[in-house]
Amino acid sequence: MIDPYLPQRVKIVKIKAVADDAALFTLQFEDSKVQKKYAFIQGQFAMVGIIGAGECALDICSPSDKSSKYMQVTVKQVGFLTKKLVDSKVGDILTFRGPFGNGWPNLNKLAKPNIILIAGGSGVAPIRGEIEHIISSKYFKENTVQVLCGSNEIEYLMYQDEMANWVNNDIRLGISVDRLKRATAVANAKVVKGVITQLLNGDNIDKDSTVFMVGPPAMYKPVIKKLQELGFADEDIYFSLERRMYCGIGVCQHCAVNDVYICKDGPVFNVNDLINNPDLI
Amino acid sequence: MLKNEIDKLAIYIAKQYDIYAPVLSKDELIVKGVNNIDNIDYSSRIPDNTFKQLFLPDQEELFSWKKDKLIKPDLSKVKGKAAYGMNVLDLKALGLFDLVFTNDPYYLAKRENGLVVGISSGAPADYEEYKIFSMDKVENVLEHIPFDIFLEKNKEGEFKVYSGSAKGRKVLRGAGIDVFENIQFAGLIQEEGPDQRMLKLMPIVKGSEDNPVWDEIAKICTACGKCSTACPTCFCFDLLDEAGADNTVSKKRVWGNCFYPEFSQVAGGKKFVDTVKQKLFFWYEHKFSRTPAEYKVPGCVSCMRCFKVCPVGINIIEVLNKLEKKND
Repeated sequence: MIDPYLPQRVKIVKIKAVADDAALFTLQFEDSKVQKKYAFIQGQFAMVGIIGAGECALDICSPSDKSSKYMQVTVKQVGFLTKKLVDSKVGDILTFRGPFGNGWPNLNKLAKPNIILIAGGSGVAPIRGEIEHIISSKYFKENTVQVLCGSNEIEYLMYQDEMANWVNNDIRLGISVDRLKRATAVANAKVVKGVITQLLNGDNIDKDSTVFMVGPPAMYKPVIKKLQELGFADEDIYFSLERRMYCGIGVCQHCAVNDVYICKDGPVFNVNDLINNPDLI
Repeated sequence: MLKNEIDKLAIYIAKQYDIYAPVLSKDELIVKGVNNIDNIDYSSRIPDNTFKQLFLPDQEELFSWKKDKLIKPDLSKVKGKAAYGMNVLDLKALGLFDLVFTNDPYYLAKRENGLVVGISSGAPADYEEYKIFSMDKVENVLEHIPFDIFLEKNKEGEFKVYSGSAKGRKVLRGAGIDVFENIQFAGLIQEEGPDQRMLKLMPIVKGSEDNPVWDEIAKICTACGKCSTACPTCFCFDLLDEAGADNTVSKKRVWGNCFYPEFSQVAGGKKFVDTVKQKLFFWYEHKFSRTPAEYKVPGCVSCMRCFKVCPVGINIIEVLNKLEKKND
């Protein structure tokens, strides 16, 4: 019988700062046979930990087509474990369980193949995996891809150094910063002062698109409302949620929302799921 | 069968297992380790504490690391405990645990290496008081509760013995008991289908988040969490790492409690289940909506331990009745 709580050991092979308080970790299984067989769906998460400090749920934000070579997770320093993770060094061993949950819908099966990725705060991390996948699969060649990122402060906007590459791959970039002190641009995209809904004005948005979104809890309702006002159909709007989790398999109850477990039934949901479970957001 | 033969059975079981059974001390009926089988209480009353500790301990080590080396326990060698004298309601709770932890090797090791001996002396005298869900006579429930051996005590103090598994039959024969009836476990759900009261309550509780009943109870509930600890069906857990001597780190599973502030807290401080009202709703919703939706059985067995331990006297039956009334 498989022990669902027993993690694999992974080695940190690379650490890259992606904001003032966040870093991208590239991880490889110590056991290369495990790495070779490893697979996940974009948008799934893993329980990543340090022996002695516990585990936390992190989205796997590397492209899924590189899963046999490495995985990446983004760590933002917010609590006890994430502080320890950010202080880790290349060569250190972490624990890794997963993938868990369902991921984003398969891009090749979308009713509306053009795509808008909306990321608020550290939501850029899970969105980044999809962007990497879009670039490595050349999805942008046939379809319009827009990425809208919002942040409280420009210093905390993750992945600014990768945004030029996004733009070079025909991804249309919009950025909003709530507390913007001076006019600036990232990857030639003028930063808009304000909250993320300000990027959702009719002229800039390709309404014939599917939306994937991740952000802080307060972001979902206003952004979904704005999208609905713009004429987006509920079934074309997907979002991914964060909760406290321990088991990852729908047993421990910490992530339960009514009859749904975010770990097992999510973390990705469709706006139509709100009909039966409005408390998700 | 007379009591002295049942005593022989208990002695036989005690040779192979650590026996945990209800023991009366002063006014309290407590499930605890038993050294002297004469102390076992055969009243089939509901003990103050539950048997869940035997299968889901309040804290248990799953595995550990010594420096870099993973140390996995040999689960086949987990020493079995005998849960002796489990009443029907606690056996229903065990049946739910068997469903919840069906893929959990640590739970299964305790179940497989342990022994479950049920007992009934008929429905409790205050039967009506205990009735949240339908509780039929013993003959109708035995096929729908898990046990290895079941002892049915009549008014004269004589016992009828049932076996519910090959393990139970082996133990009975080993103890020299050849007269027993074999019961084939047919799942928790009765032939006539899922519990009607459960089906009626599901949508009522699910849609009750804004019901003023919760505001009313939240005014007196102290969110102490005793109800969860006392409940035979509450199984929330946390996983944590605990550092020990000699560079050892244990991965531990400990009971969680949805009334505690950190239950739903994520890094950064946000709590998704935050107010007392939300906690109450979460607790009831788990028992009367989420568990029925997932397992088709109620997440409550009507034992009323939550009411007995509640420092402010919140009565689960009254709460459900109020919700039903508000819904009419």
